Amino acid sequence: MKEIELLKRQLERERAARREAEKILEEKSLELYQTNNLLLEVNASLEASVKERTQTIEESERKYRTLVESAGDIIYRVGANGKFTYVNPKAIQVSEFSKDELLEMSYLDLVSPKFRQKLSNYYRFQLKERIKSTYVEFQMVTKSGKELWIGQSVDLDEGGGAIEFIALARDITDRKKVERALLMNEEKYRSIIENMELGLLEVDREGIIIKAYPKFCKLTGFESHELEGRIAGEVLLDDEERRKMKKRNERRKEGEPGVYEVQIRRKDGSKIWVMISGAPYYNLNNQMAGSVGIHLDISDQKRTQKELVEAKDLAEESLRAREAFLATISHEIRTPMNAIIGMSELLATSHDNYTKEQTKYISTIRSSANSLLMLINDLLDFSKIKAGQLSLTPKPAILIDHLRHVIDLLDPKAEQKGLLLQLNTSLTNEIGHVLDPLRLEEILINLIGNAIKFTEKGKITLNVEILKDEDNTSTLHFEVVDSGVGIPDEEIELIFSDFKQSSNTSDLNAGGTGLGLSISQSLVRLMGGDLCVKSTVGVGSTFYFTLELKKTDDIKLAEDNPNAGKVPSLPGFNILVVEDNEINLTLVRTILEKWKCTISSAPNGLVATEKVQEEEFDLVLMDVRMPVMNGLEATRKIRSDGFTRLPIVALTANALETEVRKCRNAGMNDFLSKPFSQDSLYEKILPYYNSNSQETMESLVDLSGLRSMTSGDEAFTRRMIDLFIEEATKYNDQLRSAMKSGDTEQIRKIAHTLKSSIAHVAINRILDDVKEIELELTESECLNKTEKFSENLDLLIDELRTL
Amino acid sequence: MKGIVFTEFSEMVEQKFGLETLDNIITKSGASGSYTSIGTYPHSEMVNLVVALSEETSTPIGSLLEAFGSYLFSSFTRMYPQFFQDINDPFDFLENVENYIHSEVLKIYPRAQLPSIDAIRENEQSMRLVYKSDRRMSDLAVGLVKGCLKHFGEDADIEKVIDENSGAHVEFRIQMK
Repeated sequence: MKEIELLKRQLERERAARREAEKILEEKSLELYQTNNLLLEVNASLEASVKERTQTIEESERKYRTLVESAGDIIYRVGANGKFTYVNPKAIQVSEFSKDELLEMSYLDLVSPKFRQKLSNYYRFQLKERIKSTYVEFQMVTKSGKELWIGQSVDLDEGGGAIEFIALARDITDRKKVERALLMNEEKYRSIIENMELGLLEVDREGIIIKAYPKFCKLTGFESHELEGRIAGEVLLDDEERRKMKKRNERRKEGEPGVYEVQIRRKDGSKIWVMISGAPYYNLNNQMAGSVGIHLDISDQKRTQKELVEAKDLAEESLRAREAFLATISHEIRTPMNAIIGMSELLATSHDNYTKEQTKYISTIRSSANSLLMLINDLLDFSKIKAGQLSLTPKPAILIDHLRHVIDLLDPKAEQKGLLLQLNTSLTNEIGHVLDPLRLEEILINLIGNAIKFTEKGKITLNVEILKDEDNTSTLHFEVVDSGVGIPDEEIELIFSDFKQSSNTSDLNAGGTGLGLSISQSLVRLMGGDLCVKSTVGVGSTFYFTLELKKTDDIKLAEDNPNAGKVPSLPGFNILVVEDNEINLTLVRTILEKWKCTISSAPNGLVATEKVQEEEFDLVLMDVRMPVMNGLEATRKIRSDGFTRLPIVALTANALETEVRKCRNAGMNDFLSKPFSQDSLYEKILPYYNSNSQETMESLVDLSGLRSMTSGDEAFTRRMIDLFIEEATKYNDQLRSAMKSGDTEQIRKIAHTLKSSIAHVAINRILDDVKEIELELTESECLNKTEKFSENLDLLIDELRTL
Repeated sequence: MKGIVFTEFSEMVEQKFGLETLDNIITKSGASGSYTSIGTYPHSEMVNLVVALSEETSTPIGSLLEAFGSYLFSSFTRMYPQFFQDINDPFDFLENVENYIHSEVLKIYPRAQLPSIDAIRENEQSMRLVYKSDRRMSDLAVGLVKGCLKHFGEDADIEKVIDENSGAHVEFRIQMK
């Protein structure tokens, strides 16, 4: 029974377990069913959304297809094997193959043979390296054999499993043609320039070399890689050249092209001169990107130029030396000549009781000395003509006065030979003309002198006829007519030649150098005329020329010219004569009063120093040896009292060199030895009269330096001044052009050259200016200073001209 | 705890100690005694059944669990022959427990709470077995290992090396004889 109970309980437990298991199974199966239903639903919605997506994709694909089909560019797809899988209509149109034909072909079949290998490698590389996108240009051949340039972008498409290439291609044949034409054009010019032995250098805005062309490398000895990337100025130029270049480059940056010369340092350190033509070039935004310099080797030209300049300098130097030599010689000869003439004059008047023979001797000495002086003057003029240095000094003058002067001068000579000398002219002293009166006189004296020389009887006429009289000019015909021997036809041509004289002369003592006509002809030509002659043997000769002269109303100035009349006139010239000898004082006073000067006198130096304090004098004539205070002492006192500019001229009987020096050292301006001729006194004091009239303006001239050098020889001084005027004018022009180009280097060079000659003729202020310019000032200071100096130099030159 | 442990336990008790003992321990422990292998039952019910069996048979719990483990293994070989295909070595099998067998079990019973069994082969003859479970039934594991050795006809010394956390973390060394 217990067994049964036990089994029953066990059975009950088994049943319960079974039911539980069944329940679990039922639950599980319901769960499964529900899950299944859920899955079905999910599936359905998935399907719907897939369908929707597919539609959208189809839609967009249709859009893209339309786009691709109607595209203006070639679009195609190619499989990894290179075969076309899709071609758009444009591809068909361009290739001229049909769609079916293309789909059987590889893309390489369309590529021109010369590009096939390259392209195949290119796309194999793209595929291997999985490069997303590429662009390449190549030539294709169409079905009909046409060659076209294609620019092609290719994208790798890995989206659909199998890799494909998608290509977008365009016919770029036209563009290539233009490019090629451009390239050929550029190459053409480049090769022209390169073949012209011109070195090209491209630099950017900062001066860094971008490209050095082969010819430039050859020119400088550098390799292109040694130049490119470096700053042109640093590699190729010295400091000095760099400074010059900098300024030019500033201008080039502003877009101004220019040509200039510069010295370049080669790789081996040697220097060459090049001419650079630089021009800016621009980028696409029209901004200046840099410049191209074209370099021409001008070393040879420069050398030649330098040699020429040196040769020219040498020639000019020797000309100057010659001029200086002539000036010196003239001085050396004239000084004793003047002594001979002056002394013979004195000798002639110093005694009343000469014998007839003695008088003849003295007269012979005088006339010989005068002939000799004329001869020397002729020679000097001639040498000036030969050197092309004979120049005129035109000024307002009254012509008739000078004509009369010539006649008066030669009348005694004509009279001596029993000849009649006449002047025929309608000119009056109311018309002023601008001319060099002394040179005109020289011409006429020469012509009339010759006429007298070659005429034995009859008359000589000077005809001056007004051919044309206009508002501003007069045309005048000058004629010297004689009744002399005449010149044979065959000699007519010769008479104007140097050192030639007519052989047909009865006067074997006619003398002369034979230079007279040659000089006259040169002078007439300088005045714008031409000296001619007509002659009949036995009847006479006529020398004639025509001049066109400017008229001037400035007759007062012309009249003021002290040389215009025979009697000098120095009205208002206030002179203090310091002289202890009453007779000498009376003599000087008589002469000076005749010249309309105002005279005061002092018996010795001490009184003179007091008089100077009391009254303003234009000039002091100072005797040297005097009681109480001598002339030297008095001069020193006057100078130390502040009268530094008051002209003091020494009067002394002692003509020794040491005496002259003593006078100069004491501060005297000039020196006149006693006894003196009226002419020499006039000559001595005249310069101070002229400068006296200009005293309202501050004088820039100080000739003391020059005078100490020329020992008071006014003619020599004048020549030196003329030389200075000539040179200074030239240098001032150079200064102005150097200022314009800002070339301070050149300015300093000129300043240096001018310095020493300025010291001789100008006041210290001007000399200081020029010294400062020569020193290292800043550029702007230098330019300012130079501008001021240049103006002063003009004033100085003008002032020197009027002396 | 999975129903299969309860059904196999019930069968073993019935087989080894008779239906009466089974009925006694069910009655004594207050367990339902009605189990299906696809069901899931409280762990405490198994603990009570084992304690009741220990009292009924005067056998220590450890020995009982060990014996049950050995029995359970032979049942597994019978019920799930697919786990034993192509495996000829107890160590190979033990290495598969965590990664293969347990993951297969979780496919069918996603909520099953399985112990973690980490098998580390020390050399050809020796293996360390790391048991980790809050159920603290390492004796059952030892029984299963012994069943396994017996199945492959091998004999080995099983030495407990580490016993921590009141049996929640236990390590054994299995040394082949």
